[in-house]
Amino acid sequence: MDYLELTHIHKSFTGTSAVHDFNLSAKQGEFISFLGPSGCGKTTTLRMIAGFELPTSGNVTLDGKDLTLVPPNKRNVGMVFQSYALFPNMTVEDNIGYGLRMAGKQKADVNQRVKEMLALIHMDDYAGRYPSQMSGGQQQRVALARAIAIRPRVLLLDEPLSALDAKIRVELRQEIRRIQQQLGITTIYVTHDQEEALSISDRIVVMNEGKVEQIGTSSEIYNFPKTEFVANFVGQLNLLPVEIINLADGLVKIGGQLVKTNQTLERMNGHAIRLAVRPEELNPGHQSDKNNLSGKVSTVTYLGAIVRVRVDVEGRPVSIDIFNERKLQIPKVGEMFEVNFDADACWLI
Amino acid sequence: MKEKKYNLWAIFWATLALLYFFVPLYGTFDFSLRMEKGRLSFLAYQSVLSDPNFLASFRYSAIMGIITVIISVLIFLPTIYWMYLRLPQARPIVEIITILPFIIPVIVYVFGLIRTFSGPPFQLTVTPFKTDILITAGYVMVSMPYMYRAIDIGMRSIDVRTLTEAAQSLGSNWIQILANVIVPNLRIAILSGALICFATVIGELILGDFLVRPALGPYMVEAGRDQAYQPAAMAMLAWGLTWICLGLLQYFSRGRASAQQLTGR
Amino acid sequence: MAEIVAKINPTKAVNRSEALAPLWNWVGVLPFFIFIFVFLILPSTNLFVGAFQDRNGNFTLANVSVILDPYVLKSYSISLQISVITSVLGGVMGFFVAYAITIGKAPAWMRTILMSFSGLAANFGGVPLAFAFIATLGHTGFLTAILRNICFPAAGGSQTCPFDIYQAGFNLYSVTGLTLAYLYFQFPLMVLTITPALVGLKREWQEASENLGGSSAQYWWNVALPILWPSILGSAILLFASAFGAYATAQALTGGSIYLVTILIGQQIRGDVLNNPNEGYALALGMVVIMAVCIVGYSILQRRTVRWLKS
Repeated sequence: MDYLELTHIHKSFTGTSAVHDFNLSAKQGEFISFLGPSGCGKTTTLRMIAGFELPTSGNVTLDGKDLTLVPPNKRNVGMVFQSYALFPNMTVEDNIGYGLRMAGKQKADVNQRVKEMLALIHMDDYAGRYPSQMSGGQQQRVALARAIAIRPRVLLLDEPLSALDAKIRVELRQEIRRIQQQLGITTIYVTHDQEEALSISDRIVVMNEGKVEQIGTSSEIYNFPKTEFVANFVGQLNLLPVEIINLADGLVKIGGQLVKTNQTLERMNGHAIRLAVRPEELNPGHQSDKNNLSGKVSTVTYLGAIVRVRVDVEGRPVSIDIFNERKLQIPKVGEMFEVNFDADACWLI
Repeated sequence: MKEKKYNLWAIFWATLALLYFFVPLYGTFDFSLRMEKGRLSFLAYQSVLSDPNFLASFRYSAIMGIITVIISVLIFLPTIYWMYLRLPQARPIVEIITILPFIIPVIVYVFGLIRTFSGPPFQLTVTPFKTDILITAGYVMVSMPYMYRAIDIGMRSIDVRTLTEAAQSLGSNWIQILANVIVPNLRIAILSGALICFATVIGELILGDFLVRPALGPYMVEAGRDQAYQPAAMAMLAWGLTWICLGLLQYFSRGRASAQQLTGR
Repeated sequence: MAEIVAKINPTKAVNRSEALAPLWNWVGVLPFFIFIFVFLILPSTNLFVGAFQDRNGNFTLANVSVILDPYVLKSYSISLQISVITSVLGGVMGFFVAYAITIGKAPAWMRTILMSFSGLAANFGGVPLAFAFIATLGHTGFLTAILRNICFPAAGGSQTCPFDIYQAGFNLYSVTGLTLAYLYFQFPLMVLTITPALVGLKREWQEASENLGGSSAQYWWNVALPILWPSILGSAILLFASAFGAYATAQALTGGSIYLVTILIGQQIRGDVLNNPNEGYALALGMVVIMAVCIVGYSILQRRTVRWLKS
């Protein structure tokens, strides 16, 4: 049995199902992200682990013990809220020490632990400050320290960085990961930002409309998406309607152009079949031993490190991501443009 | 974790509050029906409503209420509008002024009114008409916090500056702007201020009593001295009137009447 | 006009219309200020000036000694007594009712009724309120009669009717009765003013406290009450001022037999009970000072509230 287990968790609110048959086994020390769009049920599931929501059915088990009916203040799971939720009437050190004080620990122990926490988040000088005197990023670090101070068995974070600037977000997520690895706490991290999830997680749970779409490592999710939703939600994806020439061999036609894929479907599934390929897998130019497509350039967007070219292939838009180089010749709108890609790089949906 | 549907502590206090609200309400109603010995009837109400003095004083207070509303709107609306547009610096002063009626209790205020205006050079208490002027000014002053706050809240919610500029660019003058653009958009705010203002004037006692005018408040105190059941009927009628006024207020502001509007602070 | 402007801004009056504008703006609010001056400032200052004059119009501070008049002392004592009791009782009751309406989970129908009735009752005072209480708790009042008729069989075949409140010493036409009547509009006033503050308590604070192992009591003691106390105190002060300045309810209920400061001032206006009109003005001034202190205190506390609840 793994450290944290969620089995067959269901949650409905007066008629609507918010979470449907959620299952997860997390090992101790794992960093798992719940990734999905707003309203997909990720926060609701997190709150069920914390104890703020009661599952309609299913169990939450921690280290072998069933937590499902245990009140939230007896679970010893630390939570970091999206809005930080620091107590405005207390200083930083009072906030961090709150959990220990409520548990009745000795003053000396509390002070010692608070000092440790402040050092961990590199905010030793901020002990006497009030939340209103600090920036968002600083408040979030204090919220993290407060949750960790009680030595929780599981750490829960509910979109902790969504209210912060992009630059701070990147810094802080590395901080959070560093601290988590240093302390070895099992962590569940809720976010809608795929870059965040991909960069710091051991495993990701992709959710949509209350259901789990896929659970896997970052590269599994990205390179081998199991459903169309995952393929679309994580990263960019080109979807091209195709005509089946030979399903078993993966031979398809896009307009007049022939394409072979090594990831074919076993049988027709009743929907119109499409070819999926990521923009970064498409390379400029013609290569005889690979798949080739050509079309007219419709837009060119210069994003800095990436140049995104939109090409019209048989009436369908195809995005190509090219790494910027100084010597790169940026294609012009209206030009004919050829791309090539591997048979392994695409798949049929 | 057991998800408690209801909090026992909350229910206890809610029940206590409901009892405190409704027992006097029901008790007054019941009492008001017992004028005829031995059976329930509306005799007390008939007695009140057919008393010419009651009708006269109600008419007086109602008319005064309407006049007060009109004068209040005529004075406060353009002032607040002007303040929003041209004179935001005046705000702190005006806000303090509108708090003054809370700091000066009505009994003290009427004391000052009498001392100032009863003798020369004003001599406003010598004739009924002149006293009416005085009492109207008093009513406007007493209901000022409520009326001001109602209009202020209304102005804040519409972008006065932009609307005015748009109207000006289309060629309107000030009166046209006020009448055709500002006031129609402030209908709800004005109405809510007017309702509270009206309810205040109808229920007002001190000004009417000390300035010796035939208002509803003094009449009720007088009637209450000798009668037993009619006062209860009057209380129910007053309740009904307040309820109607505040109900209309809630209705027109779609249930969004704020605590500020109801308490004037 | 131009000369005045030129004197104020000798070198700046280049663009004439620009220099005129600030002064011109004040014209728009003139009607308001004139009205306020004539009907508010004038009578008030006249009154306060009178507080510092003697019979002949000379300046004196002697009127302050009005506080030592036995009538006056008694009326202050009773007014303060009622104001403090109703603001404390009304405050506590109003707080818990507001809690029931907002955070505590009372059934929805109870909440809606309470919220609308609070608005109603907070505006319902004066004469009708007095009449309502007379009809309910007077000698022949509805509740009095019901209680009097609750009888139990007693020993010896007779009945005992223990709930005759008037026999037990209760009297509506007393400070106790007045307190009960005042509470009718005091606690809804508390509900109305404290509800925004309770709504401002973020749910996450309670969740964070629970999450860190705190019980409900610990949350209230360590987080919620410290955040709320400026609001609570401010509202209590508001309730105090509201009771202190009330006149109509007392007058209608007791006919002026209970000595409140407001009633005393009323009697002073009608006939010089203090035998010194200037002392009457001093009394009025004293009342205004107390109210002013209350309102200032309330504003300061409101500002503190906003600071924390908007964070």
